[in-house]
Order: sequence, then C-alpha cells, then structure tokens
Amino acid sequence: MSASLDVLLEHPALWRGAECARHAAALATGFAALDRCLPGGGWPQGALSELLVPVAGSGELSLLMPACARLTHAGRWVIFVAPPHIPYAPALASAGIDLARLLLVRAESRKDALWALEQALKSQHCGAAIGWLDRGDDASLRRLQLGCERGGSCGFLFMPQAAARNASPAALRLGLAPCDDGQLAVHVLKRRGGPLAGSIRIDPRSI
Amino acid sequence: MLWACLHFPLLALESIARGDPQPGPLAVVAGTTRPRIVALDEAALRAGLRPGMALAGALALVPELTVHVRSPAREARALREIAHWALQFSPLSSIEGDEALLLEVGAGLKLFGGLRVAAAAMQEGLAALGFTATLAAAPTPSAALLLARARCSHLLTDAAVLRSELSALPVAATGVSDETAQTLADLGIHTIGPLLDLPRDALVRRFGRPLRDILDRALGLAPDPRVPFELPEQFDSRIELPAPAREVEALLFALKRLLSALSGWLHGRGLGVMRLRLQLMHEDCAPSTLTLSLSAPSRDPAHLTGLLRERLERFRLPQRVEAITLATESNDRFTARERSLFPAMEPAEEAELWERLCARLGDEAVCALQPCADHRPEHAWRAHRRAPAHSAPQPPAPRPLWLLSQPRPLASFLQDAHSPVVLLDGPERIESGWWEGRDVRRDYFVARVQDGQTLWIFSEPSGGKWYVHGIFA
Repeated sequence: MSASLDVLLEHPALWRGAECARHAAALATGFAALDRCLPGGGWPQGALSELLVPVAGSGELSLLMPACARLTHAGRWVIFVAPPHIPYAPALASAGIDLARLLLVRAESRKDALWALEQALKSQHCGAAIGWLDRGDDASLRRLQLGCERGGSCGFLFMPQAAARNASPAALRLGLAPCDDGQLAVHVLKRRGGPLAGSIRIDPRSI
Repeated sequence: MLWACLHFPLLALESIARGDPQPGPLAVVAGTTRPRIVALDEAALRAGLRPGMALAGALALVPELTVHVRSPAREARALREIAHWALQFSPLSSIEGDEALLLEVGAGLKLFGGLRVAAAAMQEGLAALGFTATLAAAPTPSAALLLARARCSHLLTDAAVLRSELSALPVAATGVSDETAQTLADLGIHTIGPLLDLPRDALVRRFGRPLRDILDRALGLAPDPRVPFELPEQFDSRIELPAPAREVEALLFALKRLLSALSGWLHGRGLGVMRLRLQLMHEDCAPSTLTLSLSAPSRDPAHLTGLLRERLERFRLPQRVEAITLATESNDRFTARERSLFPAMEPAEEAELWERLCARLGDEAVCALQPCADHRPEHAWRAHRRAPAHSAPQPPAPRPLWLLSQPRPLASFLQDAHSPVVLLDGPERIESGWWEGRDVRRDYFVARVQDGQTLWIFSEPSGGKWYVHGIFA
C-alpha cells in the first residue's frame, strides 16, 4: 500500500505544498546548503538567475565560482559582460577557472550589454554568461530568458536590492546580504516550485 | 576533356541591375547621336518597349524609365568577376569575347558528382551573383560556344554526335557579321549543317578564314588553345547601386553579390579571408571605409554577411552610397574542418561568437584574460586577443576577484571617517618593479568595512594613507 502511495507521490502532476520542483536540469552550485534549497540541486540550466546584492564585495561573485570553474573545465565558455570592475586573472585562476575559456566583453551602453548577453546566451558554446545591470525591465529579461532556453546556458544577472520590488521572468531570484562574520545570508526570493521561508548562511570563500 | 560554356545574353543589363532588389523599368542605351535601346528588363518589356527603339520614343511611352548608358568596361569587369567566381568549378577558365566564359570541367567531374550536378550548381551560383546564363557543354570549346550562343543548353559528352548536334544550330551562332548571315540566307543556308557540307576552299574564298576556322575547331579538326584566366593576388570587386541608397538592407543586397563572388574566388584559390576592406562611395565626399578582421580564415558568405550587417548598422553614413567596393587585405590558407564522430566543440564556431561580438562592439571590446608573472597586482594580468597560452604561478596570499583600475582612497568606501575597519589578513609586502622605474612598495591587507564589503587595501610604508585596490566579491 505504501509502495503504491510512493509511486503516486512521484507523479509529476502532483505537487505538495512545501517542496520545490523536481526533475529540473541544474548545475551544482558547489555549496551543499544552497544545493538543497534549489530545484534540481543547483543553478537552473537553460534559465536566468537573478542575484540581488546591496553592495559589491559581499562574496556574491564567489558564489558562482565553483559552478563556473566546473563549466570551464568541461570546455564551455564563461562570459563576463560589462563587469563593474576588472576581473582579476590571478584570483580567477586560484578559484579554479580555466582562463582559456573565459571571455571579457566590455560594452559602452546598457543596450550593447544586453545585446552581448543575449548573443552569448544564445550561442551553443556558452556555459554561463554573467551580467551586471542597474535595473531590469521585463522585456529585456524575457529576451535573456529566451536566449538561455535556446542555448541551454545559465544566465546570471547581478542587480541592486531595489530590483526585488519588480516582478521578473527569471527562474531563480536570490537576495544576498553580507553578515558580520563574513558569511553570506541567502534569501531565496523566487524558485521553481514554492518559495523558501527563512534564509541560509553560506561562507562563499570556503571552497 | 570536357568544356562548358557560359553565355550571358543579358550582360549589359545585369551588370547594372543586379545591385537592386526591386528594379523598375530599366533600359540600356547605346549610341551618341540617336541613342537606341540595346537591352531591356522585364518590366520595360511588359510596358511595351522593344530593343532597337529610339530613346525618345521609349521615354514617351514609359516616362518613369531608368536609362543607363552601355559601358563595355563595366561589362568586362562583370565578366572578370564571373571568371573569378567560376574558378571554384574548374582550374581553367577563359573569357571569350564580351559575353561568354569557357570552363574546362572534365577534370573535376568526379568531385562535383557528374556533369548535371555541376551544371545545376553553376546555375544556382550564377543566380546568387545576379546573372542569367545559358550553359552548354561539349568536348571542344568552340562547339560549347556555338551551342551556348544558340541558346541550346545541351550537355554533350560524346564527340560522335557533335556533328549532328551542331548541324541544327542557326548560322548566327558562329558569330559571323550580319551581312554574311544575310548572304548565307539568300543562298538558302540557315543552319550550320549545309555549311559543313560545302567545299572548304570555296567557303574560305567566299566568306573568309574565320568562319571555316571556327567550324574546324568546333568539330575538333583544328587545335583550339585557350588563354587561361589569371587570378589577381587580392580580390577586388565593385558593384554600383542603381540608385543611391542609405538603408542597410539595400546595401546588403548589393553586398551579397560581392560576397558570392568573393567566396568563389576564395574557393578557387583555396584560401580563407582574414581581413576585408569595404569601401562605400559617396557622391560628394570621400569614400567611407570599413575594415573587418576575422579571427579565423573564413569563406562562408552567410557568416560574412552577418558580420557586415552588424558593422553597417552601427556605421553612420555621411551621404547616400552610390557604389560599393569589396577587397581582401589579408588571406590565409583555409583548411577544411574535420567533423568528429561525436558532437563536440567546434573551434571555428566559437570564433564566430567572438567575431560577432567584435563586429558590433568593436575589436577592443572582447578579450581573454592572461595572468602574468609579476608581483605588482596591476601588472599581474593582461588583456589578450586570444585564449591565454600559459598560466602564471599562484600568488602566495588570497587575491580579490575585482581589481580597481586605479587605487582609490579608503575614505571613499566608508560611510563616515570613524566607521570601523577590521583587518583580517596581512600584511603582505609587495615590492617590485624598480628596474622599470615604476616601482611599488606596498603593504597589502584584507579588510572588512561596516556594510559588509571585504576590500583589499594597502598602505605605503613611507606615507600613512590607505588605498583600496581590490574588492573580494
């Protein structure tokens, strides 16, 4: 009797209140505590993820480093589009990234940055494209989401905390806040499935 | 040996009209005192005009007619361009007169999969270039020429049927003058067959050597050497737009013709292009030049069209464009990619993403990061045009993911002068670069400030001020 109940509970059309979506293609984040809260056990693949930070330098980019390192060693490209500062090559190499698969794209205007992000995400060879925007409008985010789906890549957007107020088509939204002891408090604002109550603490530089 | 002849009856018209996607009624005229129409396009034919009409009468019938003066130089240039393009099908091409091109296709038939397939491919390629041609093939070049001139698209491979096939062609196909043709018609000779039966000496005495020579050469009775067409070192071709235009789509339509020709030329020489120069001619000001650099040799017209489209969309034109010139500046040997059995990363397609980004954002916008073996943080990395070749040794202490382009005073990062700054790691003394005169002597620390940022700060042992050089993101 319980065996048939388990089979019933595995049915994809059945959703229980507290859980997140299963069977989603995902890229492992490298942080076990975060993996447990994300559908599929990692960053959603073929979809956009938004990371909302109050101020740069809290460890937000380090959160992506293990996944990016795995992508570069698997032969896929990681593309930084219009970063606010110079990505420092020795630090990236120490974080495990294969610099032969990293591209830096500088863009003069927001429109160019969005175009470059879309081109990178649509390309079959890009594993992840990371962009920094000061605001997100629905049309651009939707285009980026479609680009991710087409190319099968992960899109990561860093945006200020104020963007949390607006709805977004991204599959995953994380709010990040630095804690006093150097750890990062991660609030899962939106994920496929149900929202997560509470936050988790991660030490981004522990890996 | 098997020769194919391409005859272009509408060369005068198409050398002008091929740059225009929607030509209106167009006529080509010749003659200075009383210009007469030499060639017409379909729209003009439908409007009731006929070749040979006087220009004044034609303009009275169709006021919106666009008129161009016939230019033999332009037609010769067009024929040379087709000869370039045709070298992808044959190692030997030869221009014949002003309207025909001869290709020796016997050597490459197996590569193209047979004569019919090769002929179909040639017609398709010519359509992409914007020309219509009659294609005929025969064992001798003169026979192929006669067939093509007579609008017979026969593909003869057997020399035995040559005489019977040629006998049915009209006399005009031999290229004799109108008076000679009229004389022959008066004698009752309308096709080549009776000509072949006439006694040789009488034919030579009455109508001259050239007529007998071409018949001999066509039947293979006399040798028929052809001067092969020589390819220039760099591709350089020009197309005139029928009307000055500014829209990207109009420019790209004309450019597609040039790119087809370029692709054929590159195929013929076994090269791929690395740097292209595009010049747009304006009426009153100097021509605008665009240079496109590629990271890998390419000869795919679709890829080049995409890159040029991105460039043209960002380019501000001072005036409308009257003509476009495309030239190669640098080529490299093109090696065909081996396709692996299992789908894997194709390096040439990665280069395409790089080129597409560069085409729109500029060549300097895309780079890879190369670590350098230098202790000074600002010199420990470099932007590199290609993927980095070597790695540098690991730095001894943690390095921040963000480096500021110029060190900024710490005070600009703090909310007020008295907020606490916690030093987590350090000091790391970096002292280097004395041999260049740009020596640094700094003590680096990892610090956390009040709002949670972790910064890489330094102070110089001599002065007391603190600067931020990096952010641990």
